[in-house]
Amino acid sequence: MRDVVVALSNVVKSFNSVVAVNDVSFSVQRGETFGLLGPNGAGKTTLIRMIMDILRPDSGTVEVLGHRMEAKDKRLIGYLPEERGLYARQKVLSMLEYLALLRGLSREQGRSSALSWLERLGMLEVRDKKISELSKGNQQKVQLIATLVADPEIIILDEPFSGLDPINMRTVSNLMRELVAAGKTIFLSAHQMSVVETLCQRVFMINRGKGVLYGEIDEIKKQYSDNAVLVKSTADYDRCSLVSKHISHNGSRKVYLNNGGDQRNFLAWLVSVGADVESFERSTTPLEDIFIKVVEEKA
Amino acid sequence: MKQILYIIRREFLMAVNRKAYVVSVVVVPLIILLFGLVIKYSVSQYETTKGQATIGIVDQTQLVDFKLAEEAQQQSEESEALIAGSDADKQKYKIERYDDVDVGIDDVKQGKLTALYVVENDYLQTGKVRVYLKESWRITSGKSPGLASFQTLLRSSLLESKVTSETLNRVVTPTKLEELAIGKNDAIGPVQGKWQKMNSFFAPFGLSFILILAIFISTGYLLQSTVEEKENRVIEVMLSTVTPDQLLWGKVLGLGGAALLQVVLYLTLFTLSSSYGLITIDLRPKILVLSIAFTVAGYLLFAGLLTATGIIGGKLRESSQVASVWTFVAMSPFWFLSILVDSPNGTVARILSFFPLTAPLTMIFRLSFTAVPAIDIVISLGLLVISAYASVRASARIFRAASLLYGKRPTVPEIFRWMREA
Repeated sequence: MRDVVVALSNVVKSFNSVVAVNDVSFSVQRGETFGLLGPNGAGKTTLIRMIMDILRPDSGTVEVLGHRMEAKDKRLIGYLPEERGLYARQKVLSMLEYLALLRGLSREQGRSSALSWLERLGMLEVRDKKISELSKGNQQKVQLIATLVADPEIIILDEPFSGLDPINMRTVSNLMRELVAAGKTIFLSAHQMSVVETLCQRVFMINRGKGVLYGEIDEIKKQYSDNAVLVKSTADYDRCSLVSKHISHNGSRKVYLNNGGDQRNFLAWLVSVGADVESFERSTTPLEDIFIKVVEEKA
Repeated sequence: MKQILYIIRREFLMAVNRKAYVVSVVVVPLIILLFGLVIKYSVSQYETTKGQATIGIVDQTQLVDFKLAEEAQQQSEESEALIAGSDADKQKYKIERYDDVDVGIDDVKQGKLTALYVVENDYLQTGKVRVYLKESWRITSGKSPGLASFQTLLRSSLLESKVTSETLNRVVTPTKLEELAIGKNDAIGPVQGKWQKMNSFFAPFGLSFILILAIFISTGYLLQSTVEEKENRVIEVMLSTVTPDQLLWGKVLGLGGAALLQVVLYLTLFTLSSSYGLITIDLRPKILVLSIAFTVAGYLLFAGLLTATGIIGGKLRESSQVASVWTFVAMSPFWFLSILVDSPNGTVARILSFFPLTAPLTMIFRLSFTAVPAIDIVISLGLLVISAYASVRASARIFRAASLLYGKRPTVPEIFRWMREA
């Protein structure tokens, strides 16, 4: 089993009488891309701020790299907040150097790292421009570089795709894959379910401050699947006792099996009746549908 | 620790590179210095121009003894007194005899004479004297130039042959006053000249004002920096990089460094001005050190208050309005200036010194103006240091709790709860 780099245990946080986070527990493993999902106002940013030790929980524990976060640990985490903000009047390179210095790099290391990231994201020519002079997209990219400039072990990205065009979204997605391949851990909070589905291995979903889903995406999808298969074949499904109903679905038939009906037995039936099978795949529920279903169920 | 140093460095450099700071550090003292030099120069010019103005007299009665005036020109002390008299003119006047009124008027027109006095034929019976002078003189002075010298000459001329010279002297100069002032600490000494009098009040006033100004320029930057970081959301990036305490102390010390640099420059200027006799102020090392101590403690007190104000207020405009209340209270000892001058160690002065918000200004003024009892210094500085510590500590807690709160203004009980929580 991989190391746990972030662990929350029975965490509670209230603001006045409003409970923003209520008895939340989950852990993030080294080298994975972990997704944090939830509707607006669910408590995602509060959770992230507690991981960053910007806010302290009322009860429960938050551990980073095996212990409660200390000042020196902050340099090991890169955080891209949802509300972007940089010193508007400062020049790009100087701002990045300053943040690198604060995160423990030497002046030379900080400069070299900042220049390397600027080059990688095609922004070398803006290094001497003031942040306020950049386009919104470029400001986003500078903010991302500020997150990564000190080569953090854990990268927390809160809505990294907001405000990005499709090309830049792809650039950031690819960058995230590269970072994970290089051994980094990414903690991703995003609304784009399709992106989360392709990038994350495991997710935690929070709704109204409470955890409602947690685990591997495949397992969750299996859990929420409707026990159906997508089949393209010459068989007459009405003749199968395992089938409860079947409907047309994107050029295939979506075949719903009876309660307890095994998909392997259905495949065996197709073979036994000599049907010509062009395609056979398990029908899964998209994460987005699961998200909506869970949120509506708990409403 | 290194992080705090980086933040201190950045905040310090950002502050000292501001135009307003450069103006306050370089231009303001230069203006004050220039102002002092101009006054000093004007006074010395005034001293050197004494005796250069001339009045003319046309005596139609033959009563005036011009020899008395000539004797005065020879700088004989007694004769000068005869001319100067007890109600002397502000300036010395040379007296010239004129026989023709028109010639005298021409000389007034050409500026050779400041005024022409014409003693009329029936003077003895009516006291009638005409005086010709330029219109502009009336506007600036309101009094005929050389009138006292002219009247003294008339008195002397009228009595010269009728009384003894001693009596004449006493008529012309009835008193030679030696004024003694009962000053600070009941010490009796000669009354200071006008320049000295102005200086002994204005220099301590100026010093305390300028040091308080230094405090509020830097705490103003602190407020601005805190509010801006909150407004443009940089604060979350900063708080994910350093702890709230590191960020707060970095800011407080960085901008405090800028304030200290300002204070040192101002004190150096005051010390130099004092040693060159430009101003009269007591700036012995002990007083310099105490002034710095009160400024630093005062800075920390107001730094804490203004940071908390900025964090709670959220928007620069609103925060600045609230912050102006602190400035108002800190400057309030100036309302009691006349009481402080009359009784610098009195009850009002002591109350203002023991109240931490008014202590910096009051104590810096008192220290440079009079000898302050040691007990007052100890109590005032002690209370100020304790308040400054409490202010920065409470502000750090408010900073941690409220730096990421937007939109909703906290209630007073909430603020107190933040201050209690670690």
